[in-house]
Amino acid sequence: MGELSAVAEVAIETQGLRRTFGELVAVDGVDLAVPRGTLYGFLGPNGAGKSTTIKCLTGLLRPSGGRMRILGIDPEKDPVAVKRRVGVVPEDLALFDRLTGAETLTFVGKVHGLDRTTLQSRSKELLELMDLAAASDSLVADYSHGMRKKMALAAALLPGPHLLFLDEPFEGIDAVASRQIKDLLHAFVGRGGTVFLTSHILEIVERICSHVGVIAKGRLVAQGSLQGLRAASHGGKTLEEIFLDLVGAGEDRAPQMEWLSG
Amino acid sequence: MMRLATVMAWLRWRLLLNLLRPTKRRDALERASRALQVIGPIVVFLIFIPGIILAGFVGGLAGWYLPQTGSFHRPVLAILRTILSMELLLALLAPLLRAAQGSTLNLTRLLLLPVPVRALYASEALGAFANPWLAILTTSSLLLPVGMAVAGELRGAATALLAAAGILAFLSGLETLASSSASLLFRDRRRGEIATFALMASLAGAAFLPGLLATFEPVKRRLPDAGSIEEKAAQAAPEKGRQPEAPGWSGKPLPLWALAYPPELYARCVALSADRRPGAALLPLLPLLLWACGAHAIGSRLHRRLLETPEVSSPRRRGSGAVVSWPQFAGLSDAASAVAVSQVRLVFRTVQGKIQFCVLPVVILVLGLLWHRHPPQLTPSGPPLPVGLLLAALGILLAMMTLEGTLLNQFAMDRAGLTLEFLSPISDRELILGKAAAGAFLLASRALPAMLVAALVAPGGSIFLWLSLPFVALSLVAVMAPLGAILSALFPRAVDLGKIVKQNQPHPLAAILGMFGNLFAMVPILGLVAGALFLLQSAALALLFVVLWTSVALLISVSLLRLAERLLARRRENLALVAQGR
Repeated sequence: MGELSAVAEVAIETQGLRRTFGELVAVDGVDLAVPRGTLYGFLGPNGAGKSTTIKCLTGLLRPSGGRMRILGIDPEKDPVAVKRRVGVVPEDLALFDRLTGAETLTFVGKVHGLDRTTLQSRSKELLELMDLAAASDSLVADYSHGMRKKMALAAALLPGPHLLFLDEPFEGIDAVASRQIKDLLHAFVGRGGTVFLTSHILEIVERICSHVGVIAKGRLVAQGSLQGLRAASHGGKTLEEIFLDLVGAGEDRAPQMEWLSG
Repeated sequence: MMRLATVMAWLRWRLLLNLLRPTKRRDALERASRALQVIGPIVVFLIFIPGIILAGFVGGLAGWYLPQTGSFHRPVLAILRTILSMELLLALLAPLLRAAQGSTLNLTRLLLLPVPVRALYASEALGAFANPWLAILTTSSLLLPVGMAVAGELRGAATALLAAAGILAFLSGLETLASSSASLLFRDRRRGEIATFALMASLAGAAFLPGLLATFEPVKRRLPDAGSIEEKAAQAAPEKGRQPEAPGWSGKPLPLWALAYPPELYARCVALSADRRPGAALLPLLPLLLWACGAHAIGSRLHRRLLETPEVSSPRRRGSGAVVSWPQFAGLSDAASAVAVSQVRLVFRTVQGKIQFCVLPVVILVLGLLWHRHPPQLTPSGPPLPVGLLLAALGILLAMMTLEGTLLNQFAMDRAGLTLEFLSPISDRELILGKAAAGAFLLASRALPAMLVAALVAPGGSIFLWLSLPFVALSLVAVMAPLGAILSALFPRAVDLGKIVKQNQPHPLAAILGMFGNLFAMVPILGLVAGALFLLQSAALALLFVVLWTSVALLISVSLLRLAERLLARRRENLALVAQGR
């Protein structure tokens, strides 16, 4: 992983990133700067443009405008080079239903050109870590949602990426697995890796992320270290309060609805 | 109850209408191809309404005609019996086939609503009448008594009306029963796939059975000459059909065997009513009503069980910890080879893939046996045909046709797996080459057993022609694999590999264009082989021509692959959206 540290201090950098769907502007001039070796939480209300941004960054969507650099490489010019260094757990988990867990890892390993011994040892380690070893010969179609999520994470980690994109990694995961994943991400970041994750669970983001970006209506409304954001909000505020202030929901009162009498 | 029925009708209507609504995240081509997909059902729906009206009219006419003295009852009743037998078969098979296609009852949302379980069952049973075949029988069987009443047979009309209620209630109960059973069976993926495989294999077996049995039938009977046929027809004419039946034509009210067959009970009831024996008609009517009650009693019990038992998932196999065997396709990069292996595994793990692999050699075997045992009936007069060679060529052709479902939707069929491929360091070229290699392997895996069977059943023929067969297969797949990639990129369709028929088929437009592509790939081979054999009278030249054409096909393939690569780069976004089912 050390080879890139000299190349780029910023793992993800975008300038004026924009993506439209017809007349709908999903991402509107986003300037991201994700430092290497950080756990970056990308937050925003539903429909704010989080998933669209992550899809643009991972090459699933082509931006309508702006520039991007992932680990110092332009993904539009050399998408394969970026993909060799990046692991992704997307929204739909990106797994073949008709491959077994072990076969899924083999597929990913083969595509990344891992040799047989490395592939075998890493697969074993990951399957055990994710508590999937017992189900490794079952088709992914027969996995529960949580198991699928863990399998997608294992597949993303297998090639030893420098940067991880995780779309809602803690959604549908039990407390034990959630703890394991958090520990794993901390260890990954501790070794110089970078994690870019989206989550609706602000408590988790507050606990594990060092840096945060907030997107609302397609625009990046805040970005920086968590400490910096707290300081800028005149201290003492929780991430939830900062987030609500930033997305403009802080002033909203609770709806009345007297008919909900209980 | 009425409120629930109205809500359910509204729900079905909205679901149908919403199919037509465009979504924002699709490009023009995608919207057009989606629109094309829904035109078919709309046309069927528009044809269906006049069909129901016509069926009612025919039913009324039959009701008026049957009680007339001197009418010909037997043909009318024979038609009625045939229709009822088909209805019975459809009521049993349609829910199974629907379930195999992936359309099982989804009751989770309904269960959360404040609706009693009985009302849910009643709405389900009433919903059975929305099936075209039952709707057609409903109008015709309900208007049949009206026709009888118009003909002046009021008591008979009343009995026929009760019988219509009985048979309709029985069929709706049977359909609901079959539907609940199918839903219970298909809830579990693995069990559902085994059932689908068994169902498809049985249907295929049923189709082959007459042919197979015919091969073992001794051919002793001499075909009658034209003179004797005319003679017999002249004798039979006054005896049968031409003689209008006298009163009492309906015969015995209730033979014992009819008790076990509700359609016959209904037919007897109608016959006795039309024969002015409404009292005797009560005899088959009572067991018919009992059958209807029984079907609904078991149907509602199964429906309740379906609601009360939780969703189950397939038991998982324990991991053996063994290394996964993952072969390497020679000549391909690691990434392209991985794509090819995953594609081959995906196809072999689908019900359709397994059926196509198993059935093709059986088809060739049955045809071979038929040809072998009855050559004069199946071959034209003239020089003897190289039957084995023809069967082997047919095997290749059929293998190619069965492969169209995979080739013509090669990207979207991976569903979320396509996202994994797009996120992986696989270039567009590697992706296309991997898929093409998988196509070639699948073709070989289906065509080779068929060719072997053909060679065993009917050996012989020129060695040059046998040698040309692999080249024929290669030339076909060389054109079709990249063409399939192009069509798959242009007209992707989200499919469920675990299902059959419609749910697993490529986009209709891709299927049509693919068929033309197949023809384009085949015609030159046929022309060259025919020219070499019939004009130049040389099998060796036929082999040479086929090899030359294969080289041309490979050159065409390179150009098509480049085009497919450019197209894939442009269509990635849409493919990813479609593969995710959006």
